[in-house]
Amino acid sequence: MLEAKFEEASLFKKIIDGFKDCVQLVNFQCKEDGIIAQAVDDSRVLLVSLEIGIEAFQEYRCDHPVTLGIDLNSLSKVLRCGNNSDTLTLIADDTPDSVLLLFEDTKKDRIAEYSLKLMDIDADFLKIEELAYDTTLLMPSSEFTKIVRDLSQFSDSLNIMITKETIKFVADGDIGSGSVILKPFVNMDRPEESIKLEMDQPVDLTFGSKYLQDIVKGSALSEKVGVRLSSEAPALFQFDLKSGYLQFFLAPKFNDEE
Amino acid sequence: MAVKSSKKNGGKKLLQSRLQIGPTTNLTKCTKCGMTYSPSVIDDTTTHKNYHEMHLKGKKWPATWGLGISLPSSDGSTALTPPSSSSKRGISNTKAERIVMVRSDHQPEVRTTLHILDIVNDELHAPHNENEFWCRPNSNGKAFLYVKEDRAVGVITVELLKPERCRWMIYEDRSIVDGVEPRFILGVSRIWVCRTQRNKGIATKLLEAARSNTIYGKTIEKWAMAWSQPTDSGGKLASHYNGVRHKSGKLLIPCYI
Repeated sequence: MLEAKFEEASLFKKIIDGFKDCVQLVNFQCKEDGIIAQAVDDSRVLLVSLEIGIEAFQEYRCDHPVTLGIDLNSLSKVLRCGNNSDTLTLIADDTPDSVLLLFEDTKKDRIAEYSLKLMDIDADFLKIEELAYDTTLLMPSSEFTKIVRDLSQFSDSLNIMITKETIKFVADGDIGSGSVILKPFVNMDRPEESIKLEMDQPVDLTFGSKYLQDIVKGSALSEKVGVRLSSEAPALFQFDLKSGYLQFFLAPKFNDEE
Repeated sequence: MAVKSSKKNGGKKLLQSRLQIGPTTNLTKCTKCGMTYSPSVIDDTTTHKNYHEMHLKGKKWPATWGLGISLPSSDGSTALTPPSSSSKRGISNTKAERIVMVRSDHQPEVRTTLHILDIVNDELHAPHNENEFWCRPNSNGKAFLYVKEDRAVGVITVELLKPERCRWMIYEDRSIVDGVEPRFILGVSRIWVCRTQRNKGIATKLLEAARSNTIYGKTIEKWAMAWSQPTDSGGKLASHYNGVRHKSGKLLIPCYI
């Protein structure tokens, strides 16, 4: 039996909205210690990895591990039916063929119940090894979102260059070019606005703009985004939850001649 | 007025890399059609789907398409069937199995046949550009299809040969005999039958149809048919159909280059 209650439906909504545009069919693995999910986009360029720890729920109970194979398009339809401030409980039995979504408005005593049919999704769960990255950048997610959206207008590729004290984003396209340069700084009064950079090696990487635009949809989840980069390896973009995270692993673009 | 766009990224082309998680080991070999493909790549799956269906069952062929052809009677004379439109007397049209000649002035027929030959050429590892001789009106070749239950399950394309293209080939080692210039008339460019319909004599029927219907009113002798680079099974068919035992004991197949 699975019973997972979110204090606010909006949290689960934000999580799903954070990656529903890049993958469609996802297995949610519900275990004693929380819910995890993983999916790769059709082009095999972007991997999404989600972990929702018990602390993120108001109540959580899962006696036996269950896998919920869900079509995110259908799930987001159901999620749109609930109000943001409602509590949301996911309920499934031990061998489920559907999952129940229960929205409760505690003030008005309104209860809405939706059942979503599950799917048998053939996907292997990958063990992602903890990689060592050349560079780790922690910055406000709103700032990162703005840079990605602004520069994506110029080109389908976005270059991120990090040297000792500079973070440079560049897009060069047909209509012109744009670049944004940031420097690490600490804001004592408003720590969420700080930009923190840990660099072992300078990096110069290029990514597909459309994938970055998908990734920044996760920024509703967290005020900060963690960007971890290594040359010649997939980059990691991470949005932390109260407990758990939403991670995106993105394969970079390389020069054709290599 | 011309617009010139500046070079992207200083002329360098960027290539999107992929995550190395499973996809490289994710190749599947279809047990039925033998094609190896990656189920995670959309292009691959559509290509496989097309190939699989065609390779096993042939391609849909409407009943009204193609000029119906009747097989020569045992004495070798050709009985001409009326065109498919006069269906009252036309028996070939209503039968579940028939042989049709592709009419080169009917675009849909030519297009579908070209599509079939695309897959045939893939399977035979043959060049894709050798269709001119049958798909243009008034050209010196023909394409025939074996249609069974509204599907084209076999195909043959033949072309009239110039003397300088004709050669003998030794069946055992596939070598061309030098210095001899035989004279063959009709060259079999491609011959193919889909997998589920093999070993039913369809190829032989196609050969017979081509022999008696390529030149109007004339049946070409069996020995005057030549083959173009036969595959393994094509070589077998050729050796049974019109291979010749040379006095040296070697089996010769008429072929052309």
